[in-house]
Amino acid sequence: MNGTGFTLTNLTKVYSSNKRDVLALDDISIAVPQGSFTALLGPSGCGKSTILRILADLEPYSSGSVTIHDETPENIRKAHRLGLALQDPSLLPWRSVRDNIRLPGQVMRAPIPKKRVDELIRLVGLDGFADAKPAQLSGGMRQRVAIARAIVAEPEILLLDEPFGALDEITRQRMNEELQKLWSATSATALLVTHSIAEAAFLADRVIVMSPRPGRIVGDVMVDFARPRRRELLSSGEFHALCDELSALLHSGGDDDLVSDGELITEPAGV
Amino acid sequence: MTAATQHAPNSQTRTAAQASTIAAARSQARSEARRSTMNGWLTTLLVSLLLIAIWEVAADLALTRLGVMASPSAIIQSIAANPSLYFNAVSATAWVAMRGWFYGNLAAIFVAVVFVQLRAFESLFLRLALALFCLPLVAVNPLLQVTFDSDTAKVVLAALSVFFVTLVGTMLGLRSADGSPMTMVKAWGGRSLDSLWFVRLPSGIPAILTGLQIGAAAATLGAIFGEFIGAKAGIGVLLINGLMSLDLGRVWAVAVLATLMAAIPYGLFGLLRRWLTPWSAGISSAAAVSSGPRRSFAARSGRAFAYTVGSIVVILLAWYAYLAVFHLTPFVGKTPVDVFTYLVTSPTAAAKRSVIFEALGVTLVHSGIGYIAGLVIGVATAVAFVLFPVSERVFTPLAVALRSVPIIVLTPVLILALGRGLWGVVAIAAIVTFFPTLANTQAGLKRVPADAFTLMRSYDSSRMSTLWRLQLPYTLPSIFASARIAAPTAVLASTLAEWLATGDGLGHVIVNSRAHADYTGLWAAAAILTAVSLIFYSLVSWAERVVLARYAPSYNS
Repeated sequence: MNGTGFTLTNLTKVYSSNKRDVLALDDISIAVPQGSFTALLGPSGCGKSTILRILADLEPYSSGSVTIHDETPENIRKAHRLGLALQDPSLLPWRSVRDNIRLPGQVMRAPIPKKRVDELIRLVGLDGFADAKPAQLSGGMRQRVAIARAIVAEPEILLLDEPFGALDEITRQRMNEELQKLWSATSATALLVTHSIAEAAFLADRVIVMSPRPGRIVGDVMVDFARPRRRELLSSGEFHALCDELSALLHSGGDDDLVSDGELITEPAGV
Repeated sequence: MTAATQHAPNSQTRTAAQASTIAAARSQARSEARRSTMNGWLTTLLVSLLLIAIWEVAADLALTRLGVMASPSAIIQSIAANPSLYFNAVSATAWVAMRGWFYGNLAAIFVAVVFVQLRAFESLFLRLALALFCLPLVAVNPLLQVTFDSDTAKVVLAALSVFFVTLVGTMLGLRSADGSPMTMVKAWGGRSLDSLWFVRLPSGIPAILTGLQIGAAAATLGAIFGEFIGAKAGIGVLLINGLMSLDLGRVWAVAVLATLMAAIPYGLFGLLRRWLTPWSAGISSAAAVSSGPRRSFAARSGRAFAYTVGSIVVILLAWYAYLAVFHLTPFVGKTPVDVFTYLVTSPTAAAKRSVIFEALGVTLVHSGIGYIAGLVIGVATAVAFVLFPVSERVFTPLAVALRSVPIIVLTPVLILALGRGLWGVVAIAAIVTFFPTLANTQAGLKRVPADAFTLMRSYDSSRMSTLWRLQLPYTLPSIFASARIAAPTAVLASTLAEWLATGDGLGHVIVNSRAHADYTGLWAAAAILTAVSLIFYSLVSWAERVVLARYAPSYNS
């Protein structure tokens, strides 16, 4: 773990329409070390997905600067050094599990050896499903495929936008443990966007808490539980204390239930 | 699956019992499924046989004598008496239809890919493609005949009749996977061609196959209609001959053969689609509609105005380009200026105008009444199917079969049945509107979420109340989609009937102008017919937007 992973410096993002301008991100500065695992925690509409999309070079920003491993997001994306998993597993329904995992290599014109694909299928626990089509899989299994696909090309930065957001709580915890295992085997700098306090606390080295309208950082908490973290951690006193601290931070920025109401601070649809 | 085997020692017997229970339930479910499929087929078969029997009896007793309908046996006799005549006609028409189908679909798929990949092209030229769709074949046919040799003209006509439907379907299909899979490809550093190759083309295959399927019937229609002018062989020639000599057996034999020509490839491509793209049910196509940011009323009106002006300019340029590219002599190829002179500034303009606008009025009455009747009856029939499920089981196969009957053969048949007056034409316009409306409304009614039904049931909602409060609002998008597509078809159908039979309306003006070598009149009538068709289409899509903004806002966000 040496060198910088990604840095955001005075990052500001304004969505402009004819009627009004909406400040989605207000002066965000974050720097994380290479190979670390960071979680962005916040309610809907706080701009956390926008940050992820800016890092993935999928969206422009208004001012400030962004670097990943001292390069621009555009260079990283074009050099195929980026792994991405979204809440929608976005598997192609006509491709088998194996062909879905192979897809990034085909797009990048750097074919991935069959051995590597099969190894990942085994690692994510999908033995015997290599030739199954997405429609034959459960939601959890589809998301495993999406995670395998995100890391198959050995990316330097792994961006995860609520990948388990649509799963039930029990499956979700199991997926978190597997994600930790998979990520530990890589050297990637990871960023997880989530609105689950427990998920952020369980997975991350550092949790950055955000509040909406405008999106800004209200807390930055280091998490130093030893790895690998196990399920028992969830029932420990330290873990509960950490969750309480994060919860307090989340509610510090004005506690109201009108988050998605009124102002047009919404994360772009289809993420 | 494994849970049962991991149980305590005594689970051995229980597992066996469970297995036999499961096996019994499974075989029962299978045989039930098989029986219900069999029942469905049996019902269809019985109903069809019954209808054929009724047809035979009714024709023998009265309808043949009245000059309306040939009996099935008479049709078979007519074909058996002269098989080579029919065989040659079918193969001549099929050859034209196949080439038209091939080139039309090829062009449509190519243009769809270009439009989807390069948005700028889409906003400029989609209007032109829409104008091609609204271009009534009745108006185009004589223009193509003066432009190309007879064979090419027929092929072009067949290609034109498949182009727009495949274009729109393919565009929707290519965009159906837009969203997160496209984001992924971009994140992997993929270029726009990569998203086309890995995501858009494969996800567009079901829609492309649907286009090929629907195009089969449309190409047959175009090919037959092309034969109405100056052809020596083909189904269309036989049809005209039969109609002229009031040879009932021949007209009906041609109708049956043309229907088979349309229906057989339709069925084959349907099977091919299910076999090649079993995943297609999993792709939602509702997300394809995108909308820009919401603008103020003034801005929207300004944009609409700019688009309209732009479209008119593009269409006029295309008109000039057509004349220049195909080297039409000034005698047959008339420019927009010629038409303007003909209708507005020349000394005889007032007389010409009154002829054309009177004919236009007649055509509007024909297509308007038929269109509205077709819509109302189509929606009402779909609703009746929901209220009385038995009727749906009995009539849906019949409706599907009748839908693939090309309007070109319906026209003479209906004219024989209903006469050459107003009602024959109206019935034809109504029928071409009825079938797509029925099919789309049925499909729309089935898309209501199951949970919404559960909710209504928890309120003990009556069937009518569920229909009114839940099902119909959910179906509005489908109803409007078919209403929009049917608008130009209704105009086409009524002008076709006018051309063939009634001796009034714009269809007849076109026949007349051609007969008298009044080429300016021909171009003028074609231009006005296209304009009317476009306006009709735009009015319906405007109504669609207004209604859907209220009832289906999720379709726009």
